[in-house]
Amino acid sequence: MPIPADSWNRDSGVRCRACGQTVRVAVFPAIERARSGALPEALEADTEASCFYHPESRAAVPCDECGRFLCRLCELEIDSRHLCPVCFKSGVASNKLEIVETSRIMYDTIALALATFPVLLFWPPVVCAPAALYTVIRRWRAPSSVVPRTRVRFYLAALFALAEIVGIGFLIFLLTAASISRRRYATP
Amino acid sequence: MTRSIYRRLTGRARTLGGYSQLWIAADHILLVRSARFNEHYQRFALADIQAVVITEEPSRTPLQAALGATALLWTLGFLLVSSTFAKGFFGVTGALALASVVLDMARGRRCRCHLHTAVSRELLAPVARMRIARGLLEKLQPAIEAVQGAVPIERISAIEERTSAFAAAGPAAAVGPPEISIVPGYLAEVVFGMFLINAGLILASVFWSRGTQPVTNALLSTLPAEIVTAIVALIRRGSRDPRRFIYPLIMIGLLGTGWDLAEIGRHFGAWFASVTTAAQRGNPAPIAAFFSFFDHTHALIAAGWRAVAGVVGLAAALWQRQKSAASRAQAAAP
Repeated sequence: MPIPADSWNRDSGVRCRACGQTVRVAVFPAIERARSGALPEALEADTEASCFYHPESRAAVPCDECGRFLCRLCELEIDSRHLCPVCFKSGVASNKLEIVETSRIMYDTIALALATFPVLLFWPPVVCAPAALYTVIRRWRAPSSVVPRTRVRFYLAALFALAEIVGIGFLIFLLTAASISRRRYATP
Repeated sequence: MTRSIYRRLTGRARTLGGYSQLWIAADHILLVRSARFNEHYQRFALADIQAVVITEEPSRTPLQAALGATALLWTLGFLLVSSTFAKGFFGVTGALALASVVLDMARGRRCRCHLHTAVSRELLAPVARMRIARGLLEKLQPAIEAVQGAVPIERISAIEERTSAFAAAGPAAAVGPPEISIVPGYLAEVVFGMFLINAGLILASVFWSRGTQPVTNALLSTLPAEIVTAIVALIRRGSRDPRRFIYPLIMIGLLGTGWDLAEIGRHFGAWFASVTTAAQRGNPAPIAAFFSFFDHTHALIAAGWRAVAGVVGLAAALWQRQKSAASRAQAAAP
């Protein structure tokens, strides 16, 4: 059941007549805007510049990346820049267009997990601690989250991994020394 | 800290697998869904947002009061046991349960918040409480109106007429795809079936002397399965299952299972004490005494409540399923 318009954009909610729950609605002018896509304009004279991808359409803007002329249909406005479809695709593939990225891998969380959880099982740090350190070094410059995020996970992962590697080395040293001294003092 | 164009709109709505959060930039809002090791982003341009609808969910005060009373009763179970471990177990688990209920009540009423654009109707998971929704609108509404302006009051009636005309024209003029009616799964029925199976196994483990060991071995799997399926059924219920009666019954069943586990723990503790006493005296360990999880009296109680819960639950689940199917058929009829 539609919510009556007299209850739109009010500070307090109103009760829905169907389910009885309190509903608060904020409506904006975009609801009235007609849905229409950009349409190219046809060339009116041979002297006019045409779109690189549609020779029969009038050029509207040049691509800010490659300079090709684009009609209204081909033009993609991303972050106040005008791009052609090819430059847009290559920008997405090379992760240069942060504004259209839909996912990112959190290498700092992966490094921290490698440096912490395996300790619970005792022996996996032999492999996981160097893997954590490698991840920290290899992915230090990799783009992190698009929202504000500190590098504290990387620092902690490096610290824990180094501590584990030192601890494993010390343990190996102790075991080796004990084994050598047992052999030295064993009765013939 | 990495440079960012975003400012925080809401806190993190945490789930088992990650969290979701809302952020705002100069010209769009960003919905971040984190799965621990990666993040997924969904952007909504401020110029494209048509409406924000916040729907308050029904009050859960009776359920919260019932859960709080149950947690309190569980905590008071430490008065009934003698061992320090059991006292600590009841005390700590009960206090944690009570604290979670109090925290849920303190966070206020729940709600659902939908963001409407020309092509989508997105549920904003981070906005799950009315307090958060009010804060979101206070920050978001001025930002959207700075880009789009406000809807003139004289245009509101015209917009309502147009949207009502779309609704009255029927499915052919609908903006989105037709709603898919949600048919509840059979997990609740599986839980009540597990109750019946375990009732039979418990009785067999105590009263069928030749089959005690294999039946007890089976109980080692079926008792944890009963707990896991009951918990999963309660978690997955969400908005998927309109049946109301059977889920409190599952919660009561979980309490009964918890009591059975406490008895099994006590039984195990007594057996362990007898083993250590026998070891001190140089006698062989009484291994056979542990083959059964329950003594006769407790076996009858454990099997009895499971049988009642299983039968009542199955009957209620099937009856409510038929009732909701009939009402769905009636609603779908032209």
